[in-house]
Amino acid sequence: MSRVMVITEKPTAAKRIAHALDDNKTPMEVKKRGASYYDCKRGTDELIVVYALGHLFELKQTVKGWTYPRMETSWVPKYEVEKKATQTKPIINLIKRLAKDVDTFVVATDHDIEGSLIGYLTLKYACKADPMVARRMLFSTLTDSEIQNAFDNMSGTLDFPMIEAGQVRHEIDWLYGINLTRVLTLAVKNTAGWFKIVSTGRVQGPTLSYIAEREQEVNLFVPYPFWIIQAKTVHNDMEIELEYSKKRIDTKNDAENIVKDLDGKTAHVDSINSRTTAQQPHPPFNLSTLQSEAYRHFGFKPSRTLAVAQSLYLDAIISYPRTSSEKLPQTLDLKEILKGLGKMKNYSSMVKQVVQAGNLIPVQGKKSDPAHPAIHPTGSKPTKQLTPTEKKLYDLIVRRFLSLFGESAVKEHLRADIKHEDYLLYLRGLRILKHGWMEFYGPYTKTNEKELPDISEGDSFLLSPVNDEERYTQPPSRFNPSSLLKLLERENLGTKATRARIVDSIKSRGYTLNDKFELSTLGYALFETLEKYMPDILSPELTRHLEKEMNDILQERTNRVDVLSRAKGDLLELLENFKLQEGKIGNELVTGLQRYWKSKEELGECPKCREGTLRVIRSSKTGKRFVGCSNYSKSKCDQTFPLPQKGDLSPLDMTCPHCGYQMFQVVSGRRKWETCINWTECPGRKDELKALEEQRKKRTEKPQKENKK
Amino acid sequence: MSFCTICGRVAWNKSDFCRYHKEALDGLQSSYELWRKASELSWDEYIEKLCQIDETGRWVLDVAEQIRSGDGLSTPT
Ligand SMILES: [Zn+2]
Repeated sequence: MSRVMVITEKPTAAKRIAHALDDNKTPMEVKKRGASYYDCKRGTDELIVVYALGHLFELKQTVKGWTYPRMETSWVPKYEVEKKATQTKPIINLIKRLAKDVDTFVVATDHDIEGSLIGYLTLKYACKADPMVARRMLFSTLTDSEIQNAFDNMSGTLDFPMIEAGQVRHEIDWLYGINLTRVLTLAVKNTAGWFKIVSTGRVQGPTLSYIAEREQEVNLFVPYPFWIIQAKTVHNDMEIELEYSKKRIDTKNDAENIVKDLDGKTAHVDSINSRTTAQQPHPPFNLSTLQSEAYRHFGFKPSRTLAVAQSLYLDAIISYPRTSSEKLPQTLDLKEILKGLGKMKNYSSMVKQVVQAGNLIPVQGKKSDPAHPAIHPTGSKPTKQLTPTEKKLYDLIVRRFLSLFGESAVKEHLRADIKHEDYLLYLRGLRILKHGWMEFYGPYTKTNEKELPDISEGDSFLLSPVNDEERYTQPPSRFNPSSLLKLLERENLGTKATRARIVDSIKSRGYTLNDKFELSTLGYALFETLEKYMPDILSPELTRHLEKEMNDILQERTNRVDVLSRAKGDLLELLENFKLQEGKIGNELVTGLQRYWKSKEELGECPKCREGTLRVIRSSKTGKRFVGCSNYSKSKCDQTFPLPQKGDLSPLDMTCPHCGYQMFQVVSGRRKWETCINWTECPGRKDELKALEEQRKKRTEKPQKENKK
Repeated sequence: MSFCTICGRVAWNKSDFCRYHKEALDGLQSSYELWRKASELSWDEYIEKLCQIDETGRWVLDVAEQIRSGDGLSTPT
């Protein structure tokens, strides 16, 4: 009998793998001081299934000092670097003890760069085992049959190119992130004496740059006017809206002439044309298409979709979600998956239809991934009650999968051409002749079906009323989490595993303000400073170059040591250059930070304790905002002021002429006014409030008058 | 060193504005011709229009509001 240690990535994965590998499907969980492992029997072997917690080891600098440059690192237990990671300590200790009398080590972490690295580091630093003799299980779903198959046919060697690529990415990210963040933070500290972490990194820099560029386009946008023609008619007692053949009229004069020529005139149906189109099913999901579809239908942020998909994967009901592939391999047992789905109440009738139609060749997409197929359901039943969020995402994945076997949808586009002299108007209809795959994809399809009214060639209409309406060109839209993620993918920045986190961190560090990714004053200060002194950090070239080098490691065209030494050389050169300009960098960041703090949080010195700073605070109970003193939390000062609940606030460099309190500006929509923090009590504001009220009244009356004109 | 009269950033090449507000002013001035052709607005009416419509970019709006308040920036020649 031999003792085999199986290293998995997470507790839930360990449980499933142990369950699948134990001959009696009853592995024993052995708990030891804040950690546990699973004991199983398989044939004559004793299996010890242990788990990591994602990464158990992290990089740490080997030479002391919070300064730069720092180029040398070593892998240490995560709890030594991250104070919060206390859970990793008992796990590492347990693995260390258990590894002492093990005959064979098997890595069963996720089959991708991070998973391979987690397995390797656990093996090397917790088990103290020789990675050269360890073995590797490869799988894309956590179903019993796939796990057993992966164990019985495991590879005799670890995937070293993947491990090296992963290691190098961690090392270079550490080098750039740590050193550049220190450049910026120390520049601020040495200039103003404040310690405020100002961070940047290999992927964060270019991401910030894309957001700033878009922000500038929006802020510099000058809209242009154009006019549209709106024409109506009545046919069989039904009001019908007609579409003018030219979507945009460039001048007011032309628009008015068209209205003059058409209003009250008779037009006739010149012809009715129809055209049919066939639409194939959408390809299978990869992570990015799943994320964007989940955002569209449920409003889930990409990071949330990934987390939910991960939990569905750990429950073995979908395949591994971190995949770029849009293909389902021929080796996949589709019949078995359909059989499983057929047993679920929600999908049984759809599965029946798929099986009856007999087309079991799914539509495939273009993108592929060497390690994993496209995301698909496994057909296994969930072992637990799914949360509402999980249910939604699972339904989307199952329906997408079923739709792959559907026939093309056939649409009929109808267009009636309606003429008055040389003027042409349209009436459009869209009929779905055959739903095909749309029936399976159900609520997630866009149909836009619209009946064409019952009309024939030669029918005539009275055009009334015909109007023109002034419109304006639209600025480019700001990013949302999903469109930003897509851009990063298109630009090949970051990886499918890291992009969602980068998108989140831009916001959590205060560089953007809301889900629309509007750049904050801090974001601007950082962007402007980097643009001036470190433009290379904002350019996607640096990171694209690294992704290429990693790819070359995967293809065994280069190796980790060479890539790392080149990266260190480049970085050292950059850092020397920054050191010379530290004072200038510090000045710009400090000015930006001052503006940021001023505009976002602070409204000057507290008039009561003369020590604290007045800040905008949100009540955790009511969600309403008010002004409070920063000494409040220390129970030293209880000064508060009410605030208007709507609009952006920014302090003004002046005090109220009536009461002497700090003044601030409120911008709400198109309205902008100035008041003091004492506005509800201030003797000078009473008249002002009245005047404001009167102005408001006038404003609401005015548009009515204009309408009458 | 002089600063932008709108946002306090460092002013751009002896102008009253930072590079963003200067660029916004340039855009605003060069777009007037197209507006004039399209709807025969006077310069003042054009500025008023930009202040009113939602699509106007923030920096353009800042500049338009400053012009409307009459600080001496005049019609481009
Ligand atoms: Zn400015």
